[in-house]
Amino acid sequence: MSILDKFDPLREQHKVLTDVGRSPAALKFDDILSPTEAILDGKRTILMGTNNYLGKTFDEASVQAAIDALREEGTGTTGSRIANGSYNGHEMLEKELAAFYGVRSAMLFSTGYQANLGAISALAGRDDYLLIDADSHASIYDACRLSDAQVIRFRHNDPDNLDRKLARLEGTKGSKLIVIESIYSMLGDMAPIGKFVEIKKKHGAFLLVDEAHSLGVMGETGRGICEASGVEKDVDFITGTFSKSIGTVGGFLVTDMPGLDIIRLVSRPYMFTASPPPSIVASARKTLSCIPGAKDLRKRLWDNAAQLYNGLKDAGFELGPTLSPIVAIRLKDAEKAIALWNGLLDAGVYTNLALPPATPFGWYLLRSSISAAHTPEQIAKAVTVCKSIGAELGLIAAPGDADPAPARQLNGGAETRPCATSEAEAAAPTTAGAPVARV
Amino acid sequence: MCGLGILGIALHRKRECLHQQVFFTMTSPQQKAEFASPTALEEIQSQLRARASADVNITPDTNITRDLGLDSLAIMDFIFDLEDSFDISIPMERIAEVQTITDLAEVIETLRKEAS
Repeated sequence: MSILDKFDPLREQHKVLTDVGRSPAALKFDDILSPTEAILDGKRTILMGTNNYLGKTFDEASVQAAIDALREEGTGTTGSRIANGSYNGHEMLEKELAAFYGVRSAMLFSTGYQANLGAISALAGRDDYLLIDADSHASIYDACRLSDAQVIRFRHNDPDNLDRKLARLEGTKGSKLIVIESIYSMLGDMAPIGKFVEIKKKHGAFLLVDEAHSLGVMGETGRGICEASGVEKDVDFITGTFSKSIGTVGGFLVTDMPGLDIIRLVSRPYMFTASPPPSIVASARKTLSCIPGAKDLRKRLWDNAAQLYNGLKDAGFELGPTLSPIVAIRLKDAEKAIALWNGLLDAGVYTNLALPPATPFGWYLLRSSISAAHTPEQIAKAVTVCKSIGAELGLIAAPGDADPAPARQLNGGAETRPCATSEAEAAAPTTAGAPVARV
Repeated sequence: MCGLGILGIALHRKRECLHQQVFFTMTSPQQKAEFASPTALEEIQSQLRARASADVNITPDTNITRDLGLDSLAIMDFIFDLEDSFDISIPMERIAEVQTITDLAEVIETLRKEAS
């Protein structure tokens, strides 16, 4: 018996995908041509699922800054800042982040995942309470497992449900930390942040907002949903990542609260991992410096998002509830979702295929993330291809039809089972209320 | 053992006795008052009957994740509804150890007791 045998059910479920096409978890791009194009299976492919919101991965100045730092400071730091000390770039980036957000302090983490893991698990300790949105990213769920706090979930984007849960905690000792995201990664829906701020103030709780998908994307100067909604002074902590609009890797925690530095001595994901390499820090600093002035890019990003969202909506696809740079086609049928995703790849359009349980309401999602670097022609092609394959699969009406056509027979009519994408889900199938880990 | 009140019984794991106790052997005035409002076990079973397919046999020993054909999202939604029904919040670490309907009823009854 192998220690890997317990994953046999997951292996079987995953085989459903690979039997009819590619595995979303094992795509290999042969060459990356630009922020919006790559070579996949020898074919030029439009990248519509990379979170590269501002198209900054090939920014000439950021690339040059990384090269200079590589030459001057080497390929890596080979240890954590607690054990090996900080480089000048780490401290400069923290100062620049604090200045960007107009707050006292910032802390760098090596990834965005670790920023949530390290910030949330350290901030909420024994006797404290973590109140998290049910649709939280896996990094938030994992932070809860690392924290000693009691963890209470509230219904997704439901301030009234949070209000009731905080009311039940009246009179208890310990701090209450609410954790929400700005734009949710699967459907692109946004938190009603003004209402959450009201609830937080009513109950004297603390509020942490993960701005992963909104940094550089929302707000006059790109600070995110808190800036766009005018609630920054009432938000206690912001976490974020450099792996989306900043085009590299790394994460951060910022706050105007005095005394943040103590977290450096208690946050295990900060203390026990290597600090970001100089080249990464250098490119992050260069790109971050462009964010406040990148108004034209933001406008182009939202124009592009509207072109895709409206194009797909007008064609009859069911989408997420809000226009945002994350545009997700919602499907109920696993086979059709897999067929549409493979069909798009065959036609040279790459999107993300997201499957339950990593998706809300058990939907199958074809998720796109739009970039300011996409051209209107690329988006038009994506819409055209989606319409063509969607009509062929009976997902939308074919041109001239009043109703969607009957679905064509897929996969020889074999019954398929939805694919679990979470190893945790497969490994602990008998635990009630297993967290819904978003990818 | 069957002479214990519902909260005491809920902390025991003798399923048949629990089932009997909940439905047939309430005696003291306090227990009668509790009986007037739905017990956790009754409410859980009632809510699950509305969610699971009709051919699923729901008993106190039913494993919530394995036996009902409900995915983790449906179960999460079910937990949210139970929280509102009983005006309690169930911390995730308390849910993590739940397997059967009786386990969940025990958690809910314990939380109700702590809240009162």
